Amino acid sequence: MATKVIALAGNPNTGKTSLFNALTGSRQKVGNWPGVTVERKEGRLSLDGREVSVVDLPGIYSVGASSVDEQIASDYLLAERPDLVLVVVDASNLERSLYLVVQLREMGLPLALALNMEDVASAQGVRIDAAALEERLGAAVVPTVACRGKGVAELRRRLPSLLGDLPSSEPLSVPYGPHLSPSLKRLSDLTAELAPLLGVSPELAAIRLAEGDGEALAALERVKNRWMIDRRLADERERVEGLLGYDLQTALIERRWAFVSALAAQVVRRDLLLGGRPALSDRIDRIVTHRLLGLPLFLAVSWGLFRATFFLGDPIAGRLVGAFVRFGRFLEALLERGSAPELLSRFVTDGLISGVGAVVVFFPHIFLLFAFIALLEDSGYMARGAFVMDRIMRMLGLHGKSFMPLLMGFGCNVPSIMATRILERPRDRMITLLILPFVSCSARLPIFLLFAGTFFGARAGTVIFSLYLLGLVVAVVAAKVLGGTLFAGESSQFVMELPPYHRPRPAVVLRGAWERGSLFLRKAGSFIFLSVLAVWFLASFPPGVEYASAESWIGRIGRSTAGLFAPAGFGFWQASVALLFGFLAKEVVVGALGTLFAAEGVGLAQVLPRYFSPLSAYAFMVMALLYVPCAAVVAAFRGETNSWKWTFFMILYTSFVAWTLAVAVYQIGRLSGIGFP
Amino acid sequence: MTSLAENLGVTKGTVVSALKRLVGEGLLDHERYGTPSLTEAGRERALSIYRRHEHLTFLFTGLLGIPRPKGEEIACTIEHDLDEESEGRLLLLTDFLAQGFRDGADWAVALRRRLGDVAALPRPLAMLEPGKEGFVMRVTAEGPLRKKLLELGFVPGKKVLFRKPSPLGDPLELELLGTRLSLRRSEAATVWVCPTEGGCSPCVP
Repeated sequence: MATKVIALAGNPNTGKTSLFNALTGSRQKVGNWPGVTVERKEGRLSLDGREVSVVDLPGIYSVGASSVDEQIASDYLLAERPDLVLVVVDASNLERSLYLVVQLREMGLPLALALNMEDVASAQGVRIDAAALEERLGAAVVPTVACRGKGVAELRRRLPSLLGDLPSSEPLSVPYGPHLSPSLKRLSDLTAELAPLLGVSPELAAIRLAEGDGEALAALERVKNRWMIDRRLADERERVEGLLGYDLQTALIERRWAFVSALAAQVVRRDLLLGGRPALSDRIDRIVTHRLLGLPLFLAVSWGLFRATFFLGDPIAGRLVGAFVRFGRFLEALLERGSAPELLSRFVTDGLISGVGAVVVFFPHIFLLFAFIALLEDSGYMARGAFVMDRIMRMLGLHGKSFMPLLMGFGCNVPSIMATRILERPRDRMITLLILPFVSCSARLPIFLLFAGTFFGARAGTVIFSLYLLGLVVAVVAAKVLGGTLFAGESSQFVMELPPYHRPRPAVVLRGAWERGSLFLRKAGSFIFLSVLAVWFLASFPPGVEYASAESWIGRIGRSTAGLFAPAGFGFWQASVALLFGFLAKEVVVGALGTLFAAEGVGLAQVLPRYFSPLSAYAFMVMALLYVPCAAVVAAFRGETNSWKWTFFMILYTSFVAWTLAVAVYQIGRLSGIGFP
Repeated sequence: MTSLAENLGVTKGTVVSALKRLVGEGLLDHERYGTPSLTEAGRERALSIYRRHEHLTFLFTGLLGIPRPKGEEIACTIEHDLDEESEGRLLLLTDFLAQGFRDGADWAVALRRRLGDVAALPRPLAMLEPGKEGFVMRVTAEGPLRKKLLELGFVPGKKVLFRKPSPLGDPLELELLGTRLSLRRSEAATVWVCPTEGGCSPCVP
């Protein structure tokens, strides 16, 4: 028998994730929904010895197609037909949560409700008659406090029977009232052909047409009696408009809300003495979104987070790398004593060990950053940060929440690429992901320090600052261009809930951090590792050549591509090879140059001026700043987008932008006579 | 009998003679010492009076923007002097105006402005003062945003509170159906509300 599937649905901020964790424990798989950068979690649950799969749907307020999240959820529910949809509802705000529930029941899906945050509700004097709700909805209702595990045992006890004999899946029919029902009836007479395309009954197809569901309207294109439906729709719209004074879509959704409100009123008892939102939440809010304090406070928090991530992360990462280097030396000595061929020992130390080292070096930063992010998200502050920053980020065509990843980018692009997970909308996320590589990470600084120090002396600081600024300007322009071209079709929305504050739970924070950290190791690890091996291989072969010399494969690639960089002023093979090495990690460019010019017998500071003019040095820095970020970024990018297509696009377009600007700098400088030696 | 007199602010004698007149016209059943109750004809008559009262109150307060106690008073004064035909015409005018106001027709907006009643004007949510609330009248956004807003609960008749703008003036923090929401100013401008303070009440047919 096939494994039964439970889909977990619910509004954002209803504790859906807590319940998912409470049900499945650590048996989870994190990935993406196919084709989009929306996180998909799947877990396993054992019920009476039977394995059940639990799929966590995106947090949504309604099903339909008015955002990608909703699209994913409704596609999944209608196409995959899970054996049970477990809807997590916020007991302290039942009315809001019930809209989704009623919609799902209209679709005739087998439903069970977890009446979550029951403790918050009681504290606010809200009592819900679970039995009455169960009866009215025709769905099991179990009160829970998922974050403390309360009610989960009861839920588990009831799940097998809910999964076994199909609970009443007779669709709920919402009374749309005397004004709308005739219209819906007349529409459903025409939807026999349309309904199967949507996977619903003709009646529901009529409802979805009337409520202006994008998917239903799109499916209209594919039916033969389209013109009839179109005309009927127009007629009914006019009729309803005349009757009610507003349009069919508004009328239908208003009626559904009226039904929801009435249902909520029937089962909710409110103690008016207790009541409302906790006062503390409001007091915190008054400070963090204060007219004058709000913005500085958020900037301070972000800056603190940035500092803390790298202040704590750097020494740990340094120690990890140190340990790997020592281990490498130890192995090398061991191999030498065993008189292994030199190539093998080089392979083990320069290839294998530094490959693994290149992967784990990111773990401390990712872990720390996500611990902090989970802290902000769990407490409710992240939403306020976006609320405060949105005005500024919108000028770049981005969402308020994009600020955090972009700031992190100055430390290291890798954790910041993963941090784009806080962005819910794929559009905002893709744009942020695509511009992040232009933000100058700390690994590019050694390159700037070397070149600016060698060529610009006292003005080195200004030069380096100009490069940081250039990175930002390119990022902003790229965001504008991408937003206006590739992502032009999708409108940017900022409909976001500001949840009540609550104390962050250590378990949630650590779990979030660990999940991302291990996700990175699993998803990006092998790619980074293989890249290191590949570069090592290219530099060491054919057998017998000097490491990374002109005769090695990497040297040959360098020689054949050098011409490409002639217009930018650095058309010699060493520069190309150094840039190739930069793919491992940008700071490696410096070391590679050292190796490549070692034959000249003098230090880099003396060698570089023989090859570069100040102008071509600047062009080289522009190239190093903007071209394909390191293998780790590519791996993380591929992990987050789940798409090689987008990854290749990112590699190509960043390289193109980098090359164009480097050439532009050199040519404009040359023609205007600046910076010739 | 006593409580009726008290509620209406007249003497008991007036009530007794009024009741007698109603019984005489066949509108009221009233046995001695019993509670008076309306006959079928009486109920119909009462409803038509009530409807007329509601319509006139709506015309004066809701449409012409006269503050509530005053507008209601005017309605009470003239409803007694209206004959069938003039009542019918007034009702038609009321309907026509209401329709225009709901649709946001150009002439209706111009009329409102001319009437000079700023307080009760339906307006985009973004034009509400911070801390004030209003009833949703309609959403003018198009496409996915429109559906999203409606499904979030921005449907006619729901009460929405504009809490405050973000420190930089945009986006806005709102409260609807027990949830705090954040909307950009441009999005909030597509939700038309009528301020509760202007004496507006939810008008959902």
